[in-house]
Amino acid sequence: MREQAIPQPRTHMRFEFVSASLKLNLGRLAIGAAFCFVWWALVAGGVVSAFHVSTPGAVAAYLVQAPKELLPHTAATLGAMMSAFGLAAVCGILGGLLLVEVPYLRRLIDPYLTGFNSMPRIALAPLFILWFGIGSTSKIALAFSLGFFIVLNSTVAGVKNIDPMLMRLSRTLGCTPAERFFKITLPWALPTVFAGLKLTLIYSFLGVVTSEMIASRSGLGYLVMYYSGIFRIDAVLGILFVMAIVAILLTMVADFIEQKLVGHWTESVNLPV
Amino acid sequence: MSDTTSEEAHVVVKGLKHRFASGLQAVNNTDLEARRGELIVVVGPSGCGKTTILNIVAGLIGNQEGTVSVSGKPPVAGRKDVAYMFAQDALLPWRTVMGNVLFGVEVHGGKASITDAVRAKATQLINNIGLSGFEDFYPRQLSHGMRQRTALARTFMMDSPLLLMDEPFGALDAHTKLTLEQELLTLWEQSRRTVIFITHDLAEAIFLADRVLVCSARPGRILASIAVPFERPRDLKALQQSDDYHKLYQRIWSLLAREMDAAHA
Repeated sequence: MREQAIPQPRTHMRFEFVSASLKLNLGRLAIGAAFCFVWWALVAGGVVSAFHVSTPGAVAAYLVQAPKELLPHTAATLGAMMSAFGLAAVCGILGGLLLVEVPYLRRLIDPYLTGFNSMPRIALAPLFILWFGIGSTSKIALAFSLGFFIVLNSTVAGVKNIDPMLMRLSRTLGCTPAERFFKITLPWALPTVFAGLKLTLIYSFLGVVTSEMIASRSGLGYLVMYYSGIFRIDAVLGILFVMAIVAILLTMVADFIEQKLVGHWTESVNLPV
Repeated sequence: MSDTTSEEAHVVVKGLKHRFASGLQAVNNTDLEARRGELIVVVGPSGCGKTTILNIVAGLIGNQEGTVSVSGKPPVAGRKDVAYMFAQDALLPWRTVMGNVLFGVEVHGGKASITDAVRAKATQLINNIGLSGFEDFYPRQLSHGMRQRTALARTFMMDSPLLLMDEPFGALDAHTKLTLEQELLTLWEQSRRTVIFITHDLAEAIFLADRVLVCSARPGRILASIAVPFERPRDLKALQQSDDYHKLYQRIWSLLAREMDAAHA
């Protein structure tokens, strides 16, 4: 009984935190609900036609019966996306490290890199389809051509912006080149490389869906083209909704991994004393 | 360290000259000698080449003309018997206070050298510099002074008998600076190592030094070597009330002021 009289700030704080995040999420839901309501009201009031924008109800109805159809296509898109992401990550990081180690090579190929990177990659899609067919290889190629340069550039930037004081420290301590790389350069570059990887994840998704929309037999991009061809706006909007959910989930997973990996030292934390 | 070795020269610099690639003469005909276990402080106007001298002794910059020896051998960067502390903390942001304090030892002796005894020593050191309870904090969570304390502990954690300190407290506020000077002296008195300390703060120089070397305006050379006779352990407040302190301060200041004018002319 007596314990109850003792204030328990911790529990109290946790309760406040829960209620704050509950409020936030309720607010977010309210925005979505308001959007759906305006959408519904515009169609019901005859301002826009259901033929062009469908209705929230029709989109929901499509999504309810869609999983059987959506799952294999989502899997096809995600599979191609992860292959492209993995390739871009490995090649981009290794390429970036090579360019940092051999500055002459970087100067030599710099105009080509800039040229290729500033080219609208979607223009390459027809070529990739011609070369690799309409299977997953051409999707991976397009997504890779986007992601590779992002990882490459972020790796070069991450290694190059290293604090010169840390390099001086490593010299005075007598670090071997391997020690310098693994104990200083690599951890230093990690947050920048990770930011590049996160961007690459989203761009791989974009690249794969784009390629699917141009020519493909599977994937979410293929479905969008198929349904827009037969004027099923409800299905198109439903698939767009699924894409948004996938993108949000990918970002959340990446944020979680980033937080676990480098969050404890990159995030500015207030002194708890 | 026995008394017989205390008179032995640890660092000897003779006729050192250094010209930067730009053609600027940074150091001209500098002679400097530090005996084993001696704390010498080099003061001089900014840009007088003090840091260049230290960098040459550390082996970070090649020696162009003159002779430099550390324990009888020419300087090489990365010698385990030399530790260098910079004006910036140069802490690894992904390591905690403990991880940073242990970093130098780890590089010198490998991961296997981090035994429980070494950890206990690090904890003791962290205690001595007033950071106990912060062992698991990351540099971003620390104030400027706390970060520089961590760098000080990392420097003292290594067993290097020669410490080179390049304005280590130069960027701190006046109060924090005094605390760190006191902490440096406490650590140094526990294990008297040779220290070459660079500053442009004359009060700091007199408080810390066995001997103050006054560096001329650029191109730098050592104008005077002035022994600081005050007893250790020193107390800054008591020191500031003594006439001897002020006389010494005035004497060195008159030398220094002339050089500062020359530096600005």
